[in-house]
Amino acid sequence: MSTTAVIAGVGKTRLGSVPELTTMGLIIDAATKAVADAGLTMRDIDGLVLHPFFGASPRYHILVAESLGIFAKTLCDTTMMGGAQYGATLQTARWAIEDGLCRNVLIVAGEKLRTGHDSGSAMMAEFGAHNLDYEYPYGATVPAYYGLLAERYLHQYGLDSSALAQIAVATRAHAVRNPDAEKRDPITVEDVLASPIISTPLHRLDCSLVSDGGAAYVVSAKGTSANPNREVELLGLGQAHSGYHMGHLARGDDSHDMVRTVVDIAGRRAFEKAGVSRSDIDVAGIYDSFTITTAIQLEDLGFCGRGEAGDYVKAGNMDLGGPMPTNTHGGLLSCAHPGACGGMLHIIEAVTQLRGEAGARQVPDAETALVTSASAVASNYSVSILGKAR
Amino acid sequence: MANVTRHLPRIDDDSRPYWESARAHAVQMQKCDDCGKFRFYPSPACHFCGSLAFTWTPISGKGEIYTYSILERAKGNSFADLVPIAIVMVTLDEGPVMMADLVDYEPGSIHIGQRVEMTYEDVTDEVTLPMFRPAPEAR
Repeated sequence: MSTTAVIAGVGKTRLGSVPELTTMGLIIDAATKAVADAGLTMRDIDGLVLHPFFGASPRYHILVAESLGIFAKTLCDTTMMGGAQYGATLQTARWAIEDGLCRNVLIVAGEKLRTGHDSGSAMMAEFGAHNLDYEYPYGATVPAYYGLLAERYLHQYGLDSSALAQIAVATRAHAVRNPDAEKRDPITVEDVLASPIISTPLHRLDCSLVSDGGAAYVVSAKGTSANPNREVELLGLGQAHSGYHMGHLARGDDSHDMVRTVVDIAGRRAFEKAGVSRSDIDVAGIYDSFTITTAIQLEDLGFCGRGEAGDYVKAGNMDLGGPMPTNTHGGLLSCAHPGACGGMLHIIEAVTQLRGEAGARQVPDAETALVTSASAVASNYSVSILGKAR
Repeated sequence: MANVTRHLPRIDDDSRPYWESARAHAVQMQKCDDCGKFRFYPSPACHFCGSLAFTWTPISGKGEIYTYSILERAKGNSFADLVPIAIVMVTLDEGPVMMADLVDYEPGSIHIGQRVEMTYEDVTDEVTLPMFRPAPEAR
Protein backbone atom coordinates (compact mmCIF):
# COMPACT_ATOMS: atom_id res chain seq x y z
CA MET A 1 0.00 0.00 0.00
CA SER A 2 1.34 3.39 -0.98
CA THR A 3 2.59 5.67 1.74
CA THR A 4 3.22 8.63 -0.56
CA ALA A 5 1.32 11.51 1.00
CA VAL A 6 -1.08 13.60 -1.08
CA ILE A 7 -3.64 16.30 -0.42
CA ALA A 8 -6.82 14.26 -0.84
CA GLY A 9 -9.45 16.86 0.02
CA VAL A 10 -9.87 20.55 0.78
CA GLY A 11 -12.69 22.62 2.20
CA LYS A 12 -13.40 26.16 3.28
CA THR A 13 -16.29 28.04 4.82
CA ARG A 14 -17.85 31.22 3.53
CA LEU A 15 -15.31 34.00 4.06
CA GLY A 16 -15.57 37.61 5.21
CA SER A 17 -18.39 38.19 7.66
CA VAL A 18 -19.84 34.97 9.10
CA PRO A 19 -21.73 36.01 12.24
CA GLU A 20 -23.92 32.90 12.34
CA LEU A 21 -21.08 30.47 13.01
CA THR A 22 -18.91 30.32 16.12
CA THR A 23 -15.19 29.55 15.85
CA MET A 24 -15.89 25.88 16.50
CA GLY A 25 -18.73 26.09 13.98
CA LEU A 26 -16.30 27.36 11.31
CA ILE A 27 -13.83 24.58 12.14
CA ILE A 28 -16.52 21.91 11.91
CA ASP A 29 -17.87 23.32 8.63
CA ALA A 30 -14.45 23.38 6.98
CA ALA A 31 -13.47 19.95 8.27
CA THR A 32 -16.72 18.38 7.10
CA LYS A 33 -16.27 19.87 3.63
CA ALA A 34 -12.66 18.71 3.30
CA VAL A 35 -13.45 15.16 4.38
CA ALA A 36 -16.40 15.03 1.94
CA ASP A 37 -14.19 16.48 -0.80
CA ALA A 38 -11.83 13.55 -0.29
CA GLY A 39 -14.75 11.13 -0.54
CA LEU A 40 -14.03 9.93 3.00
CA THR A 41 -15.97 9.97 6.26
CA MET A 42 -14.91 11.37 9.63
CA ARG A 43 -14.40 7.73 10.77
CA ASP A 44 -11.50 7.53 8.30
CA ILE A 45 -9.61 10.37 9.99
CA ASP A 46 -6.92 9.11 12.36
CA GLY A 47 -4.75 12.23 12.71
CA LEU A 48 -5.65 15.84 13.47
CA VAL A 49 -3.56 19.00 13.50
CA LEU A 50 -4.98 22.39 14.47
CA HIS A 51 -3.69 25.83 13.48
CA PRO A 52 -4.79 27.74 16.60
CA PHE A 53 -6.88 30.90 16.72
CA PHE A 54 -6.19 33.68 19.22
CA GLY A 55 -7.08 32.55 22.71
CA ALA A 56 -7.31 28.84 21.93
CA SER A 57 -6.62 26.75 25.01
CA PRO A 58 -3.46 24.60 24.77
CA ARG A 59 -5.40 21.34 24.20
CA TYR A 60 -8.01 22.76 21.83
CA HIS A 61 -7.14 20.11 19.21
CA ILE A 62 -8.71 17.55 21.58
CA LEU A 63 -11.92 19.59 21.71
CA VAL A 64 -12.01 19.76 17.92
CA ALA A 65 -11.60 15.99 17.65
CA GLU A 66 -14.36 15.47 20.20
CA SER A 67 -16.66 17.84 18.33
CA LEU A 68 -15.98 15.97 15.08
CA GLY A 69 -16.58 12.60 16.72
CA ILE A 70 -13.02 11.39 16.16
CA PHE A 71 -12.25 9.29 19.22
CA ALA A 72 -9.00 7.40 18.77
CA LYS A 73 -6.28 9.07 16.72
CA THR A 74 -2.58 8.43 16.43
CA LEU A 75 -1.63 12.08 15.89
CA CYS A 76 -3.34 15.01 17.58
CA ASP A 77 -1.69 18.35 18.17
CA THR A 78 -1.83 22.13 17.90
CA THR A 79 0.97 23.72 15.97
CA MET A 80 2.65 26.92 17.15
CA MET A 81 4.61 28.22 14.17
CA GLY A 82 2.51 31.28 13.44
CA GLY A 83 2.09 32.05 9.77
CA ALA A 84 4.76 29.51 8.84
CA GLN A 85 2.50 26.66 9.81
CA TYR A 86 0.24 26.40 6.75
CA GLY A 87 2.80 24.46 4.72
CA ALA A 88 4.76 23.13 7.67
CA THR A 89 1.80 21.05 8.79
CA LEU A 90 1.76 19.41 5.36
CA GLN A 91 5.23 18.18 6.37
CA THR A 92 3.97 16.91 9.71
CA ALA A 93 1.15 15.06 7.99
CA ARG A 94 3.56 13.69 5.39
CA TRP A 95 5.81 12.26 8.10
CA ALA A 96 2.81 10.61 9.73
CA ILE A 97 1.60 9.09 6.45
CA GLU A 98 5.04 7.96 5.26
CA ASP A 99 5.80 6.38 8.61
CA GLY A 100 2.48 4.52 8.57
CA LEU A 101 1.41 6.29 11.76
CA CYS A 102 -1.75 7.67 10.16
CA ARG A 103 -3.87 6.95 7.09
CA ASN A 104 -5.78 10.23 6.83
CA VAL A 105 -4.66 13.44 8.59
CA LEU A 106 -7.07 16.34 8.94
CA ILE A 107 -5.46 19.80 9.17
CA VAL A 108 -7.97 22.46 10.15
CA ALA A 109 -8.40 26.03 11.40
CA GLY A 110 -11.03 28.70 11.86
CA GLU A 111 -11.16 32.17 13.32
CA LYS A 112 -13.55 35.10 13.61
CA LEU A 113 -11.32 38.16 13.26
CA ARG A 114 -14.27 40.17 11.93
CA THR A 115 -17.32 39.25 13.99
CA GLY A 116 -15.79 37.30 16.87
CA HIS A 117 -13.96 39.82 18.97
CA ASP A 118 -12.27 43.17 18.66
CA SER A 119 -10.30 43.71 15.53
CA GLY A 120 -6.97 45.40 15.80
CA SER A 121 -3.60 44.24 16.86
CA ALA A 122 -4.29 43.83 20.54
CA MET A 123 -5.20 40.24 20.07
CA MET A 124 -2.31 39.57 17.74
CA ALA A 125 0.13 40.82 20.32
CA GLU A 126 -1.24 38.58 22.99
CA PHE A 127 -1.20 35.69 20.61
CA GLY A 128 2.54 35.97 20.42
CA ALA A 129 2.91 37.53 17.00
CA HIS A 130 5.48 39.79 18.57
CA ASN A 131 7.13 40.50 21.84
CA LEU A 132 5.04 41.78 24.71
CA ASP A 133 7.83 42.94 27.01
CA TYR A 134 10.40 44.73 24.86
CA GLU A 135 8.50 45.78 21.75
CA TYR A 136 4.71 45.96 22.18
CA PRO A 137 5.02 48.61 24.96
CA TYR A 138 6.36 50.93 22.27
CA GLY A 139 3.27 50.55 20.13
CA ALA A 140 4.49 47.75 17.89
CA THR A 141 1.29 46.48 16.33
CA VAL A 142 1.58 43.97 13.50
CA PRO A 143 1.26 46.66 10.78
CA ALA A 144 3.93 48.69 12.63
CA TYR A 145 6.27 45.70 12.50
CA TYR A 146 5.82 45.41 8.78
CA GLY A 147 6.13 49.19 8.46
CA LEU A 148 9.55 48.99 10.11
CA LEU A 149 10.50 46.28 7.63
CA ALA A 150 9.11 48.20 4.65
CA GLU A 151 10.85 51.49 5.53
CA ARG A 152 14.19 49.67 5.74
CA TYR A 153 13.49 47.88 2.44
CA LEU A 154 12.53 51.06 0.57
CA HIS A 155 15.55 52.91 2.00
CA GLN A 156 17.98 50.12 1.19
CA TYR A 157 16.92 49.88 -2.44
CA GLY A 158 16.13 53.55 -3.06
CA LEU A 159 12.43 52.91 -3.70
CA ASP A 160 9.15 54.61 -2.84
CA SER A 161 5.82 53.13 -1.79
CA SER A 162 4.59 52.74 -5.35
CA ALA A 163 6.84 49.68 -5.63
CA LEU A 164 4.77 47.97 -2.97
CA ALA A 165 1.47 49.32 -4.26
CA GLN A 166 1.95 47.33 -7.48
CA ILE A 167 1.44 44.14 -5.48
CA ALA A 168 -1.88 45.32 -4.06
CA VAL A 169 -3.06 46.27 -7.55
CA ALA A 170 -2.08 42.95 -9.15
CA THR A 171 -3.65 40.94 -6.33
CA ARG A 172 -6.92 42.89 -6.49
CA ALA A 173 -7.14 42.16 -10.23
CA HIS A 174 -7.29 38.46 -9.36
CA ALA A 175 -9.96 38.99 -6.70
CA VAL A 176 -12.16 40.61 -9.32
CA ARG A 177 -12.56 37.12 -10.85
CA ASN A 178 -13.18 35.27 -7.56
CA PRO A 179 -16.77 35.21 -6.27
CA ASP A 180 -15.46 34.16 -2.82
CA ALA A 181 -13.27 37.27 -2.48
CA GLU A 182 -14.43 40.18 -0.36
CA LYS A 183 -12.85 43.09 -2.24
CA ARG A 184 -13.59 42.87 -5.95
CA ASP A 185 -13.38 46.45 -7.25
CA PRO A 186 -10.20 47.03 -9.29
CA ILE A 187 -7.74 49.47 -7.76
CA THR A 188 -4.82 51.52 -9.07
CA VAL A 189 -1.48 52.50 -7.56
CA GLU A 190 -3.00 55.94 -6.90
CA ASP A 191 -5.84 54.31 -4.94
CA VAL A 192 -3.34 52.45 -2.76
CA LEU A 193 -1.27 55.56 -2.06
CA ALA A 194 -4.41 57.56 -1.29
CA SER A 195 -5.69 55.04 1.27
CA PRO A 196 -5.00 56.04 4.90
CA ILE A 197 -1.55 55.37 6.36
CA ILE A 198 -1.67 52.68 9.01
CA SER A 199 2.04 52.76 9.90
CA THR A 200 4.53 54.32 7.51
CA PRO A 201 5.10 53.51 4.73
CA LEU A 202 2.12 51.10 4.67
CA HIS A 203 -1.28 52.33 3.58
CA ARG A 204 -4.49 50.48 4.36
CA LEU A 205 -4.49 48.87 0.92
CA ASP A 206 -0.98 47.53 1.61
CA CYS A 207 -2.45 45.54 4.52
CA SER A 208 -4.45 42.32 4.58
CA LEU A 209 -8.16 42.14 5.27
CA VAL A 210 -9.69 41.17 8.60
CA SER A 211 -12.10 38.28 8.08
CA ASP A 212 -14.01 35.34 9.48
CA GLY A 213 -13.39 31.96 7.96
CA GLY A 214 -12.40 28.34 8.31
CA ALA A 215 -10.39 25.99 6.13
CA ALA A 216 -9.21 22.39 6.13
CA TYR A 217 -7.20 19.88 4.15
CA VAL A 218 -7.02 16.12 4.37
CA VAL A 219 -3.61 14.56 3.74
CA SER A 220 -3.77 10.86 2.90
CA ALA A 221 -1.82 8.07 1.32
CA LYS A 222 -1.93 8.32 -2.47
CA GLY A 223 -4.89 6.45 -3.91
CA THR A 224 -6.96 6.57 -0.70
CA SER A 225 -9.47 9.19 -1.80
CA ALA A 226 -12.61 8.58 -3.81
CA ASN A 227 -11.10 10.24 -6.87
CA PRO A 228 -7.31 9.82 -7.16
CA ASN A 229 -7.31 12.09 -10.24
CA ARG A 230 -8.08 15.02 -7.92
CA GLU A 231 -5.30 14.23 -5.47
CA VAL A 232 -2.46 16.74 -5.30
CA GLU A 233 1.10 15.55 -4.75
CA LEU A 234 3.55 17.04 -2.27
CA LEU A 235 6.56 17.38 -4.58
CA GLY A 236 8.80 19.29 -2.17
CA LEU A 237 8.26 20.85 1.24
CA GLY A 238 10.59 23.29 2.98
CA GLN A 239 10.50 25.44 6.07
CA ALA A 240 12.82 27.87 7.84
CA HIS A 241 12.48 29.72 11.10
CA SER A 242 14.61 32.64 12.25
CA GLY A 243 13.98 35.39 14.78
CA TYR A 244 11.09 36.94 16.58
CA HIS A 245 12.39 40.19 18.08
CA MET A 246 13.11 42.69 15.33
CA GLY A 247 16.43 43.47 16.98
CA HIS A 248 17.53 39.92 16.36
CA LEU A 249 16.29 40.00 12.77
CA ALA A 250 18.31 43.16 12.20
CA ARG A 251 21.43 41.40 13.42
CA GLY A 252 20.65 38.28 11.37
CA ASP A 253 23.51 35.97 10.43
CA ASP A 254 26.17 35.85 7.68
CA SER A 255 23.65 35.87 4.85
CA HIS A 256 20.47 37.21 6.37
CA ASP A 257 19.19 40.36 8.02
CA MET A 258 15.83 42.08 8.35
CA VAL A 259 15.26 42.39 4.60
CA ARG A 260 17.18 39.25 3.45
CA THR A 261 15.07 36.59 5.05
CA VAL A 262 15.37 32.85 5.58
CA VAL A 263 12.66 32.00 3.04
CA ASP A 264 15.63 31.32 0.75
CA ILE A 265 16.50 28.30 2.88
CA ALA A 266 12.94 27.00 2.81
CA GLY A 267 12.70 27.55 -0.94
CA ARG A 268 16.01 25.88 -1.72
CA ARG A 269 14.97 22.74 0.14
CA ALA A 270 11.52 22.63 -1.55
CA PHE A 271 13.02 23.04 -5.03
CA GLU A 272 15.69 20.39 -4.38
CA LYS A 273 13.18 17.86 -3.10
CA ALA A 274 10.77 18.57 -5.95
CA GLY A 275 13.47 18.44 -8.60
CA VAL A 276 11.96 21.42 -10.42
CA SER A 277 13.21 24.90 -11.21
CA ARG A 278 11.54 28.29 -10.84
CA SER A 279 10.48 28.34 -14.47
CA ASP A 280 8.53 25.10 -13.93
CA ILE A 281 6.14 26.80 -11.52
CA ASP A 282 2.84 27.39 -13.33
CA VAL A 283 0.95 29.11 -10.51
CA ALA A 284 2.01 30.48 -7.13
CA GLY A 285 0.62 31.53 -3.78
CA ILE A 286 2.89 33.95 -1.96
CA TYR A 287 1.72 34.82 1.57
CA ASP A 288 0.58 38.42 1.45
CA SER A 289 -0.07 39.65 4.97
CA PHE A 290 1.27 42.95 3.63
CA THR A 291 2.56 43.98 0.22
CA ILE A 292 6.09 44.07 1.68
CA THR A 293 5.79 40.43 2.75
CA THR A 294 5.17 39.37 -0.84
CA ALA A 295 7.90 41.64 -2.24
CA ILE A 296 10.55 40.21 0.05
CA GLN A 297 9.61 36.60 -0.65
CA LEU A 298 9.62 37.05 -4.43
CA GLU A 299 13.16 38.41 -4.13
CA ASP A 300 14.52 36.00 -1.53
CA LEU A 301 13.11 33.04 -3.50
CA GLY A 302 14.95 34.30 -6.56
CA PHE A 303 11.99 35.10 -8.80
CA CYS A 304 13.46 38.57 -9.22
CA GLY A 305 16.48 40.50 -7.98
CA ARG A 306 16.64 42.28 -4.65
CA GLY A 307 14.73 45.54 -4.72
CA GLU A 308 13.08 44.55 -8.00
CA ALA A 309 9.77 43.07 -6.88
CA GLY A 310 7.83 46.23 -7.73
CA ASP A 311 9.14 46.26 -11.30
CA TYR A 312 8.59 42.49 -11.59
CA VAL A 313 4.95 42.88 -10.61
CA LYS A 314 4.42 46.02 -12.68
CA ALA A 315 5.62 44.07 -15.73
CA GLY A 316 2.71 41.63 -15.28
CA ASN A 317 4.55 38.64 -13.83
CA MET A 318 1.84 38.00 -11.21
CA ASP A 319 -1.01 38.35 -13.69
CA LEU A 320 -3.17 35.71 -15.34
CA GLY A 321 -1.51 35.20 -18.70
CA GLY A 322 1.86 36.08 -17.16
CA PRO A 323 4.66 33.60 -16.52
CA MET A 324 3.65 32.82 -12.91
CA PRO A 325 0.13 33.93 -11.95
CA THR A 326 0.29 34.59 -8.20
CA ASN A 327 -2.42 34.71 -5.55
CA THR A 328 -5.09 34.03 -8.14
CA HIS A 329 -7.79 33.91 -5.43
CA GLY A 330 -7.01 37.47 -4.36
CA GLY A 331 -4.81 36.58 -1.41
CA LEU A 332 -4.99 37.91 2.10
CA LEU A 333 -5.01 41.40 0.63
CA SER A 334 -8.24 41.12 -1.36
CA CYS A 335 -9.92 37.73 -0.82
CA ALA A 336 -9.86 37.21 2.96
CA HIS A 337 -7.57 36.95 5.97
CA PRO A 338 -9.35 34.81 8.55
CA GLY A 339 -6.35 34.73 10.87
CA ALA A 340 -5.65 31.14 11.83
CA CYS A 341 -6.52 29.78 8.39
CA GLY A 342 -5.40 32.65 6.16
CA GLY A 343 -2.43 30.85 4.66
CA MET A 344 -4.52 27.73 4.07
CA LEU A 345 -6.43 29.63 1.40
CA HIS A 346 -3.30 29.88 -0.77
CA ILE A 347 -2.82 26.10 -0.48
CA ILE A 348 -6.48 25.47 -1.32
CA GLU A 349 -6.27 27.82 -4.31
CA ALA A 350 -3.21 25.94 -5.59
CA VAL A 351 -5.05 22.63 -5.21
CA THR A 352 -8.03 24.09 -7.08
CA GLN A 353 -5.78 25.32 -9.89
CA LEU A 354 -3.97 21.97 -10.18
CA ARG A 355 -7.32 20.18 -10.36
CA GLY A 356 -8.41 22.47 -13.21
CA GLU A 357 -11.37 23.73 -11.14
CA ALA A 358 -10.55 27.44 -10.87
CA GLY A 359 -13.14 28.67 -13.37
CA ALA A 360 -12.63 32.23 -14.59
CA ARG A 361 -9.23 32.42 -12.91
CA GLN A 362 -7.91 29.05 -14.13
CA VAL A 363 -4.28 29.00 -15.23
CA PRO A 364 -4.35 26.79 -18.35
CA ASP A 365 -2.56 23.42 -17.94
CA ALA A 366 -1.41 24.18 -14.38
CA GLU A 367 0.66 21.20 -13.25
CA THR A 368 3.08 22.57 -10.67
CA ALA A 369 2.36 25.12 -7.94
CA LEU A 370 4.49 26.84 -5.31
CA VAL A 371 2.86 28.12 -2.12
CA THR A 372 4.48 29.98 0.75
CA SER A 373 3.34 31.05 4.16
CA ALA A 374 5.06 33.52 6.48
CA SER A 375 4.90 34.74 10.04
CA ALA A 376 5.98 37.92 11.75
CA VAL A 377 8.09 39.49 10.91
CA ALA A 378 8.83 37.91 7.55
CA SER A 379 10.99 35.60 9.61
CA ASN A 380 9.40 32.15 9.74
CA TYR A 381 8.30 30.38 6.59
CA SER A 382 7.00 27.35 4.80
CA VAL A 383 7.46 26.73 1.08
CA SER A 384 5.44 23.95 -0.55
CA ILE A 385 5.75 22.77 -4.14
CA LEU A 386 2.65 20.86 -5.17
CA GLY A 387 1.93 18.83 -8.28
CA LYS A 388 -1.10 17.71 -10.25
CA ALA A 389 -1.92 14.04 -9.75
CA ARG A 390 0.28 11.92 -11.97
CA MET B 1 -12.64 57.27 27.46
CA ALA B 2 -9.36 57.78 25.65
CA ASN B 3 -7.12 54.78 24.91
CA VAL B 4 -3.80 56.13 26.20
CA THR B 5 -2.52 53.19 28.19
CA ARG B 6 0.76 51.65 27.19
CA HIS B 7 1.03 47.90 27.52
CA LEU B 8 3.42 47.29 30.40
CA PRO B 9 6.25 44.75 30.28
CA ARG B 10 6.23 41.85 32.69
CA ILE B 11 9.29 42.04 34.93
CA ASP B 12 10.89 38.77 35.96
CA ASP B 13 14.07 37.58 37.64
CA ASP B 14 16.00 37.61 34.34
CA SER B 15 15.02 41.13 33.40
CA ARG B 16 14.65 42.92 36.73
CA PRO B 17 18.15 44.54 36.70
CA TYR B 18 17.43 45.99 33.23
CA TRP B 19 14.09 47.48 34.25
CA GLU B 20 15.52 48.82 37.51
CA SER B 21 18.34 50.49 35.60
CA ALA B 22 15.75 52.07 33.32
CA ARG B 23 13.85 53.35 36.35
CA ALA B 24 17.14 54.88 37.53
CA HIS B 25 17.48 56.58 34.09
CA ALA B 26 20.84 54.84 33.59
CA VAL B 27 20.29 51.74 31.48
CA GLN B 28 22.55 48.75 31.94
CA MET B 29 22.74 45.70 29.70
CA GLN B 30 24.40 42.31 30.03
CA LYS B 31 27.99 42.16 28.78
CA CYS B 32 29.28 38.63 28.31
CA ASP B 33 32.30 37.87 30.49
CA ASP B 34 33.60 35.41 27.90
CA CYS B 35 33.16 36.94 24.44
CA GLY B 36 32.66 40.53 25.55
CA LYS B 37 29.49 41.14 23.52
CA PHE B 38 26.50 43.06 24.82
CA ARG B 39 23.15 41.38 24.38
CA PHE B 40 19.57 42.62 24.37
CA TYR B 41 17.05 41.59 25.56
CA PRO B 42 18.05 40.22 29.00
CA SER B 43 18.53 36.49 29.15
CA PRO B 44 20.63 34.05 31.19
CA ALA B 45 22.91 32.96 28.35
CA CYS B 46 24.94 34.97 25.87
CA HIS B 47 23.13 35.14 22.52
CA PHE B 48 26.46 34.74 20.73
CA CYS B 49 28.61 32.24 22.64
CA GLY B 50 26.17 30.70 25.12
CA SER B 51 28.18 31.60 28.21
CA LEU B 52 26.24 32.01 31.44
CA ALA B 53 28.79 34.50 32.81
CA PHE B 54 27.89 38.16 32.40
CA THR B 55 28.19 41.54 34.06
CA TRP B 56 25.50 44.21 34.06
CA THR B 57 27.24 47.16 32.43
CA PRO B 58 26.10 50.74 31.80
CA ILE B 59 25.60 51.64 28.13
CA SER B 60 26.28 55.02 26.55
CA GLY B 61 22.69 55.37 25.37
CA LYS B 62 23.94 56.42 21.95
CA GLY B 63 23.19 54.80 18.65
CA GLU B 64 21.74 55.30 15.21
CA ILE B 65 18.37 54.61 13.64
CA TYR B 66 18.27 51.31 11.70
CA THR B 67 14.66 51.76 10.69
CA TYR B 68 11.50 53.52 11.82
CA SER B 69 7.77 53.57 11.27
CA ILE B 70 5.29 56.21 12.33
CA LEU B 71 2.20 54.44 13.64
CA GLU B 72 -0.90 56.43 12.75
CA ARG B 73 -3.72 53.97 13.36
CA ALA B 74 -3.93 51.45 16.20
CA LYS B 75 -7.62 50.68 16.62
CA GLY B 76 -8.33 48.05 19.26
CA ASN B 77 -5.13 48.67 21.20
CA SER B 78 -5.00 50.24 24.67
CA PHE B 79 -2.67 52.95 23.31
CA ALA B 80 -4.73 53.77 20.22
CA ASP B 81 -5.05 57.44 21.18
CA LEU B 82 -1.29 57.94 21.65
CA VAL B 83 -0.83 57.97 17.86
CA PRO B 84 1.11 59.15 16.00
CA ILE B 85 3.91 57.14 17.59
CA ALA B 86 7.37 57.18 16.00
CA ILE B 87 8.64 53.65 16.51
CA VAL B 88 12.36 53.16 15.91
CA MET B 89 14.86 50.32 15.81
CA VAL B 90 18.17 51.70 17.08
CA THR B 91 21.58 50.09 16.63
CA LEU B 92 23.31 50.94 19.89
CA ASP B 93 26.99 51.84 19.74
CA GLU B 94 27.52 48.77 21.95
CA GLY B 95 26.03 46.50 19.27
CA PRO B 96 22.50 45.37 20.09
CA VAL B 97 19.53 46.62 18.08
CA MET B 98 16.57 47.59 20.22
CA MET B 99 13.11 48.98 19.69
CA ALA B 100 11.85 52.18 21.33
CA ASP B 101 9.97 55.34 20.39
CA LEU B 102 11.56 58.53 19.13
CA VAL B 103 10.53 61.63 21.06
CA ASP B 104 11.32 65.36 20.89
CA TYR B 105 11.88 65.34 17.14
CA GLU B 106 10.94 67.72 14.34
CA PRO B 107 8.14 66.18 12.24
CA GLY B 108 9.56 64.95 8.96
CA SER B 109 13.12 64.83 10.32
CA ILE B 110 13.38 61.12 11.20
CA HIS B 111 15.76 59.25 8.93
CA ILE B 112 17.65 55.99 8.79
CA GLY B 113 21.19 56.56 10.01
CA GLN B 114 20.15 59.42 12.31
CA ARG B 115 22.24 59.63 15.50
CA VAL B 116 20.14 59.34 18.65
CA GLU B 117 20.59 59.32 22.43
CA MET B 118 18.58 57.57 25.10
CA THR B 119 15.98 59.29 27.21
CA TYR B 120 13.26 57.92 29.46
CA GLU B 121 9.50 57.84 29.95
CA ASP B 122 8.31 57.11 33.48
CA VAL B 123 5.11 55.22 32.72
CA THR B 124 4.32 54.03 36.26
CA ASP B 125 6.10 53.99 39.62
CA GLU B 126 7.60 50.64 38.68
CA VAL B 127 8.05 50.87 34.92
CA THR B 128 10.21 53.31 33.01
CA LEU B 129 10.53 52.79 29.27
CA PRO B 130 13.80 53.78 27.61
CA MET B 131 13.18 56.10 24.66
CA PHE B 132 15.39 57.90 22.14
CA ARG B 133 15.64 61.49 20.98
CA PRO B 134 17.77 62.95 18.21
CA ALA B 135 21.38 63.43 19.36
CA PRO B 136 22.42 67.07 19.68
CA GLU B 137 24.45 66.89 16.46
CA ALA B 138 21.48 65.37 14.61
CA ARG B 139 18.69 67.77 15.51
